[in-house]
Amino acid sequence: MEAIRNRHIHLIARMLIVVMALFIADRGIGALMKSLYFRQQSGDGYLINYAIDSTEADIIVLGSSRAKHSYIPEIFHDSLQMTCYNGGRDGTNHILFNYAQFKLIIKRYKPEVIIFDIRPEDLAYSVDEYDMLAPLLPFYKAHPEIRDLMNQRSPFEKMKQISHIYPFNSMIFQIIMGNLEFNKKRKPHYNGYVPFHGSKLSGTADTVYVSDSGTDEYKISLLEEMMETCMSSNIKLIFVYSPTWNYSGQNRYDTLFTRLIETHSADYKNMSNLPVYMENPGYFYDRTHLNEEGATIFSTLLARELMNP
Amino acid sequence: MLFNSIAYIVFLIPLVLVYYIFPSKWRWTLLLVASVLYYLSFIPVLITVVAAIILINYIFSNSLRLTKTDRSNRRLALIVLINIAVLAFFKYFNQIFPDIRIHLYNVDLFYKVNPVNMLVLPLGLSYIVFTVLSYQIEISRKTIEPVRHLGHFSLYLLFFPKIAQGPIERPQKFIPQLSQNHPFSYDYITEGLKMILIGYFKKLVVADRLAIYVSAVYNNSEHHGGTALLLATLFFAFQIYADFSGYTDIAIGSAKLFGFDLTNNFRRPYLAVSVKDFWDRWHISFSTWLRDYIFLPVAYFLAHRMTNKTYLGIAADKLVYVMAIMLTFAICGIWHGVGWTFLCWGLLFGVYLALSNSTKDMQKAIRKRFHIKKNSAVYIIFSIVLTFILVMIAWIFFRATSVQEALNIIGKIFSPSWEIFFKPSELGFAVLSIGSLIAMDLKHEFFSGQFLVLHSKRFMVRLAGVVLLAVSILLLGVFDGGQFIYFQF
Repeated sequence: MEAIRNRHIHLIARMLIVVMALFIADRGIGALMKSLYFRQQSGDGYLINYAIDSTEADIIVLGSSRAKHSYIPEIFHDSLQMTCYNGGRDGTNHILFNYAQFKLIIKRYKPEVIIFDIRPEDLAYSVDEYDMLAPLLPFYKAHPEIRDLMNQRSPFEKMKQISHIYPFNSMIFQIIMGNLEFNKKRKPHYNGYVPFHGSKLSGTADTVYVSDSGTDEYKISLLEEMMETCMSSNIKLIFVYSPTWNYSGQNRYDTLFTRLIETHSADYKNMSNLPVYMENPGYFYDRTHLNEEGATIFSTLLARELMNP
Repeated sequence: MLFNSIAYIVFLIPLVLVYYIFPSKWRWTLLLVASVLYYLSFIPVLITVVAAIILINYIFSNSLRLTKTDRSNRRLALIVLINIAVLAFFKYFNQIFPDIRIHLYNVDLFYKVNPVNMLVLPLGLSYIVFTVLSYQIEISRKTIEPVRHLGHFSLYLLFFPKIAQGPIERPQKFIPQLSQNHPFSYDYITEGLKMILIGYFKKLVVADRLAIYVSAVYNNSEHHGGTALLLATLFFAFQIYADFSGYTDIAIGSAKLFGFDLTNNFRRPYLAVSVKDFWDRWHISFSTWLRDYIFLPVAYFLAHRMTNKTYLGIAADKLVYVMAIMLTFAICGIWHGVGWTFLCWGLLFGVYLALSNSTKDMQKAIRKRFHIKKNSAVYIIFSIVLTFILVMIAWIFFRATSVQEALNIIGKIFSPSWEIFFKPSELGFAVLSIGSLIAMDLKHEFFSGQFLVLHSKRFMVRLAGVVLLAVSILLLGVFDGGQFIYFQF
């Protein structure tokens, strides 16, 4: 009996040591990762960090990779005499991620104009889009404004955040590269804009029909909140559907999005199928992204529209 | 409640604590209730199917005991047919009746309720049916007695660590454990926790990490060149291994926490020196099931029917082997999934084994001619690489969505273009994860008992190993990954 009790005590003691060791390793490595993450000088992590923590540009562009490679801040600056930062990021979803960026930016300062690159089908429900909020995990602890959104990822998100390593999950290579000097030259950006060169396209554009995967009401509520906040804060919010090498077949998201825009009297510029683009595949890098030439023309056209609304 | 969800940890830990407080005589009830709850956390209504299987098999097995031999064979055939009919119904319903929509609800105990608008295979049905068939066959062979205790019998089939993906436990090994006491054991608890940790590492750091590249390439295979497809196929070979063996480690580890021993399903399969050796190391509980209940009986049956020495100039024993092995692997393929790809996958292994068996003398002659020793390092490495390549080709059929797609992929691989689709970071993660898996296997295969980390005599070394694994999972694991691949079978 005594021996069994000793074994139990032995096990509990060992377990406590393991838990302690895990706690220390988690805190130590987590602190190191945090420090390295916020010291990045290049790469996507740095760009997200800069948009959230540093930029004070008059115009902020929000969106996915389609925004990142299509909006040239220099052109907006030259045309409108306003500073501009492109906050579009690769591999991010459109509404959820950009809502979080929006919340964190306006917490710090009020830009004059926000250009939100969007497609009506972004209103569709997709569980992957919640997973794609991961790049914002390093901001979870310091920014309570985005916690409700981030907690939508899983019912255990709060529990996962007990770990100090978890926010930097899957980022180790990105963080290492972001801290290396040579990566700046390898991945240059121009106020967040990163150009694509060349074109992979030829032939004519197809008509693409979006499948109906349900509507994400949560996303709609976030968009509505954004529109109301901008209106009350006197920020000009413009939704833009940037060029794409597809004709979009009629789908219910078009109607839904149009109704949403009309209800809130928001500004929406559908430039997805401008003839100048649909006649020239050489302006596209691939079906959904403009190359540098296409981005230059698009940014000039949009800047002109903004000058003469 | 998948094994790779936090919900499972939240479910498991308190259960272990309660288990050892519970009177040992009644622990089986706790495990049975937990297993039912676990089952209900998927599609609750489908537990009725499993309950029916349990009841029918329980009644049959106990009545079989009282039946005379000549009638017992017919009864065995009937119960085998019933079980296979249930499995076939659920496996092929959507193929036979594609327009019929059945409204089921997927439940997560802790989260949203999702509609599933089709008839899905009840969780673990393939495993349950194969487990219960081995039970019925062993009773008819009189190697075991039927279980009289309905609770024990239910737990034998429903035990939650093994229900979703096996191992397919033989009654001789598992059922006696149900009557044992399972006192609290320091060794079982620590061993179980270590296995669970290794399982999570394999699943989250290796399998789900590789899945990102594999899915990106295979889901658009027509847009990718041969080199990208080759890389994706290589990654898939390690993905499926890490996925399934990771699951098995978690299953075995979870069972150990309750004092139960489950069969190990994997023994470094990619270090196999032949395809036969591969199947001795891959999904062992299933391959031995096929051997004992399909291959050997069929071969025995054929050998007694084919009395001539040769047929069409082929030795009868070789022909028997070919016929039995092809049938066995056809069943193996069909068991894995609906569609020609799975059948081709199984038959390809059948062809490999048939060719290997019928060219034994030739292989011997070549080795003799070139003075190659079978146990020389060069020959062993050559055999391992060749076996791996053959297995990799078979995996293409397993992963592709159609036979045509698989053939296109093979065609592209053999005419490579140098355009590789990858993000450097994903490739870096992949190399790191495959490297760690290979290192683990090489160590166990060739340096067993050496370089011990998790089983070192020194506590600090073990502690460092545990911390390293846990930190790797937190840092490199994919937490948004999907379910286990073998879940669907």
